Amino acid sequence: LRLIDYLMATAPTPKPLNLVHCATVGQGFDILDRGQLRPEERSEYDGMDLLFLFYGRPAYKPAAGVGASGILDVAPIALVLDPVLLQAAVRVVPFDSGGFARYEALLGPGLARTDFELSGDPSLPLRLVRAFYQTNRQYFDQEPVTREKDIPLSGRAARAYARLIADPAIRDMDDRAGTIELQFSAAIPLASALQAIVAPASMLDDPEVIEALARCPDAVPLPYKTYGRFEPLSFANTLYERVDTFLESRGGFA
Amino acid sequence: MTDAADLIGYADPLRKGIGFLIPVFDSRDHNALLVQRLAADGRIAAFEPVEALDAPITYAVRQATRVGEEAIWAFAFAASDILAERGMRFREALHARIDDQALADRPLLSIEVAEFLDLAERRIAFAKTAYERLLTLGTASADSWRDLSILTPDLRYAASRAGGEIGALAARLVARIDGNAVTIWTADPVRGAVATSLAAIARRELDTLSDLYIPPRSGWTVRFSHRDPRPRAAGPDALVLLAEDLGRDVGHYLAEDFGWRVGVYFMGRPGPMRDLSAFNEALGDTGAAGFVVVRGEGERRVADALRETAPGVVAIQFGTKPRYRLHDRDEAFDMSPPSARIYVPATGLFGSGSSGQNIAATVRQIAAATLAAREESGPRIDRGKWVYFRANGSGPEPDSDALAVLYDRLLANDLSVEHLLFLPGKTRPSRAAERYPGWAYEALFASATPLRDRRIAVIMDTGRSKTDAGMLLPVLPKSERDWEEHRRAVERVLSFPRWHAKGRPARAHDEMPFDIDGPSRIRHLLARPEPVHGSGWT
Repeated sequence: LRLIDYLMATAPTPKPLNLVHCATVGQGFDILDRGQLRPEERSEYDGMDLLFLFYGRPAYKPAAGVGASGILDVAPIALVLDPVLLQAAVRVVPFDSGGFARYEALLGPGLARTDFELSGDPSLPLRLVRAFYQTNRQYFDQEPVTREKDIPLSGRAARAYARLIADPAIRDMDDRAGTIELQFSAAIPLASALQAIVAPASMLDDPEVIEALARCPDAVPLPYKTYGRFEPLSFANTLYERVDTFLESRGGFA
Repeated sequence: MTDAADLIGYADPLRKGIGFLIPVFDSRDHNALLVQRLAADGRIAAFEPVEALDAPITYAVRQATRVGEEAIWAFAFAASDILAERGMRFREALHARIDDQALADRPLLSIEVAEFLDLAERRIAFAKTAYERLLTLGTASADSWRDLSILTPDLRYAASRAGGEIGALAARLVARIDGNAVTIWTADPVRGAVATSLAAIARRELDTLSDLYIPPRSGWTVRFSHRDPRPRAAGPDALVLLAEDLGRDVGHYLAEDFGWRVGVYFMGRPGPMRDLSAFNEALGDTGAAGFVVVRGEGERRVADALRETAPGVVAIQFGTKPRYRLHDRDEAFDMSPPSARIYVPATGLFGSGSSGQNIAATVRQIAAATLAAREESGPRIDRGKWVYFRANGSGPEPDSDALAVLYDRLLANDLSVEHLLFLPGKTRPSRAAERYPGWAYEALFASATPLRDRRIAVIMDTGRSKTDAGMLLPVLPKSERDWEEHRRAVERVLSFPRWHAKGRPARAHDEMPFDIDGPSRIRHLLARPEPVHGSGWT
């Protein structure tokens, strides 16, 4: 039973979540200036130009192996994008594809990254959420409800994924293990796609940003405070709180 | 970890020379730069190394610092104009410059400064400026900003101060203004005294923000919306007791979890875990819906199975006859059932090598429809005689073909369409959210109630059950209203090739003429009733 078969036997959640792109504040200025998110060459996909977005979560925690204070990325931003973009995805992966090496040991032997790579069917992220978390809220909070033993033995990839997302150790270190990745082969124009931007207050009333936001009529600025925070984790929590509030206000968890 | 370090400068994460900066330290004990970790009282709790700091540093005169001293703060009004001090001295100096020209065109940063300094009235004034500025970008996004960045955090703070049940709701409250009403979304239902108190808090906060939210003449209406009813994390939606051997793999396929769970029990199987008493016990413990599955026409077996199970259990009876005829003597329904009994006419499942997958899928379809009907406002399947048909279509329009097959079964079995529940098949996201599409559904099942439920969607769409459509209906004889409905269905079907009824028959059973409404000439068609298993239009 392939992962895709398991998912196609699962109903999708009733409402799609927004897509999210996290970046540093410096990258954020560049993206807003260009007015689009661009695919970049990806060595892990034979040099193809791809753009990676996350489904419904501003996955930001530093990767496993890097201590909580190892990299002080002190001003992250999150671009929250229209869920309609799901239609344009070329591939869906249930976790950060770049982190497969970190997850491999937990997923178990005999499973390759390709066993988890799914087509760009727009219903797949919704089915993944339903199959493993039941609701958008529980996906956002990373509270999986489907356990490995709930899945038929023949569903090796699905069982491995259930095992991965249930592992508290990796979840604490790397929240991308349980965050669905969407891959795109074409650039995404912000003018029509940007629905919210979470960023430091001082960035959001920068004249360059104001000018860029004027070209994105649906974008809601969601500032966060920068003082008193000196841990990457606290910025991650801030991003989650702001995106959570936005998704809630749009009925994403209803 | 070190207790002492030297301040060496200030990092500017925004690289724009404005806003709060990060004091940076070094120490002989560390190769890496250090940042201070703050304690709740504003003092330095520790120094933490950072391997990489993605921000330019403005270097300052080296200054010795220790854990336990007041923390150092820094704010840039410009790249060359940095205010840096410890604790209260920093607050006083920043307060003195809150109207600095550098902040004049930065209302969002000014809000941050006012919040840092606990200046509530200035914060609201800056918020008003920010809102007016954002209005120039777009009304909807300005309103969203105001609700999510000002009202919602204020309401959360006020709720958390209230403590108790209201305080427990605070962290995930979201408030949105729509006209004269404020809707408060909460994670859990809000009722009674909690609702009254929370509404009062919301009105008070809106009064405080009256410069930002113009108070309506009649006052604010407060509404609550309960979101995210968390489903049970575990436990089946339905419990199924297999009263007899239906094939060795039926139980296995029923127990598979395709997004919703079915607990399976076996009437005759020895062992305490999965037998009749365990089934009855689980029904009481979980509150899940119970089903007992029997095979054949013998009413005694059904009655025996139901007698031994807890009240309210629905019987699903796989018949051996291909058609259930209301006018025939049917032993299955001879006895007055104490609870609902659903008959599934044979479709070649038995004796034809058909797999347990299909039987399990049919049981799941019926269980899902029963659960959905209970949860929606449709007819409850808790008593009386019902019958379930499922169909697969073929040809270029398999959906329409399946619907035609089902409609034929309605006619052949003389069943009334009153209270007919329709199970759409092969559900896709777009389809699940809307009414079952297609001209055939509109024509043939206009009076049916479509059941849109994720559990039905899962099992109709597995690829194993291969079911294009299903219908579940109470066993009621056709009435004159049904024949009239049938006449309309015929009329709707014929209207697709643009045939239109010419007049109406005096009775639904009479002949009815149709004209072709073609571009060049008129053709005439006479439709008349054909005896099927009663009389009606064909």
